[in-house]
Amino acid sequence: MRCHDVEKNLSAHLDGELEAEQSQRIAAHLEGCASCRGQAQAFGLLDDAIGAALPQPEPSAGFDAAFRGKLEAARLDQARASQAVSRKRRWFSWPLFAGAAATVAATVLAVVLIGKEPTTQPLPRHRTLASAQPVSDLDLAQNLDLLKNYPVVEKLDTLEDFDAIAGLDGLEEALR
Amino acid sequence: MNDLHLGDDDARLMLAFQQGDPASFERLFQKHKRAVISFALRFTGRVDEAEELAQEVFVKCYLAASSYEPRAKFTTWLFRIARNHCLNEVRRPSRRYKSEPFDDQQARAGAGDDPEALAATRALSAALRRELEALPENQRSALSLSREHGMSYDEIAETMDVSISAVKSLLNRAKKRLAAKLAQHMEHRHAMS
Repeated sequence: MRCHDVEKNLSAHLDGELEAEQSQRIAAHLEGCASCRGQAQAFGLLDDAIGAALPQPEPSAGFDAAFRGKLEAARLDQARASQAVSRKRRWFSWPLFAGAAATVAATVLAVVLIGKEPTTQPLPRHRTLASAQPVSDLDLAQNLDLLKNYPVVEKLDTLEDFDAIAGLDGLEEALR
Repeated sequence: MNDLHLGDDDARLMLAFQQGDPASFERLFQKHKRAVISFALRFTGRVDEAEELAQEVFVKCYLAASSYEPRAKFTTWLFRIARNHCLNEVRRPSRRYKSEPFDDQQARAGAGDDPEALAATRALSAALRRELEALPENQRSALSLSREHGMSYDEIAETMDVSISAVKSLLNRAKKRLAAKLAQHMEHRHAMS
């Protein structure tokens, strides 16, 4: 085994992470190689020194309480977030969404159809009989009163002179 | 790697928590909080900041508990979340971490009552911590998971999402660099005395 191969696996060898056979070959190499042996000793010293250099600090007195406070806040955030998500889901739930979609579709369809049909004018309430348009039975029925009073309506111009006629009677009496 | 870790006490606690037992999570929190603070400390260098990160890691674990599957050891899952969270947070411009020396009781205890030995041990520890902080993040994390948290190479590989041979390489490079720095430090002290 060459020094390079030993060096590559030295930490794993000292940590007992190698297969037994590979570890034995490294041990045999270390016996005969002062340089690799020196490196192995340095690694061993380092492992001990790291243990002393890196003490695990005791948590401070408020550590647990601070954790619980953060946990509570995070759970509230999570609950709010999941409520917001479920509100969105409800809004887009199938029955409601289908109802809304159907309403929109009906409105669009109505607008399109109305836009395509010719404009229909309502029938005039008092159409003259002389009108060129054909008059249906319904039109006649709706305007029956007008037909009954037609002779009067026809002489409306004369009726407009009633005030003048009444005035003439008064004038005759004054002249007498 | 695909074996169920049902023999793992932590995995059983996690499953109990998934089934609605909050006390199980509390036990996991109490058991592992120190380890997570200590791991976060390798990223921040400050105990108060490390505590904050550790609390956030446990909040994430709590909220993501349903995603845990006992195929992974609980600590592998926990430290994976911890590493990802620490990496994301230290990269945030709003979070500027500044290393500060902290008084390590353990180093003092190891040196006994000899003031000279105490000073030497503390100086060595401080130098080592500085060098550890200067390591690339992946080497530092691999070393911390191995030396501080006693993880096997297989577990480190799973936690860091790399191959086992990558873990071997990361640890070898980290140790080689630190050993060289340690030797320099010893020589310097020897020359001074």
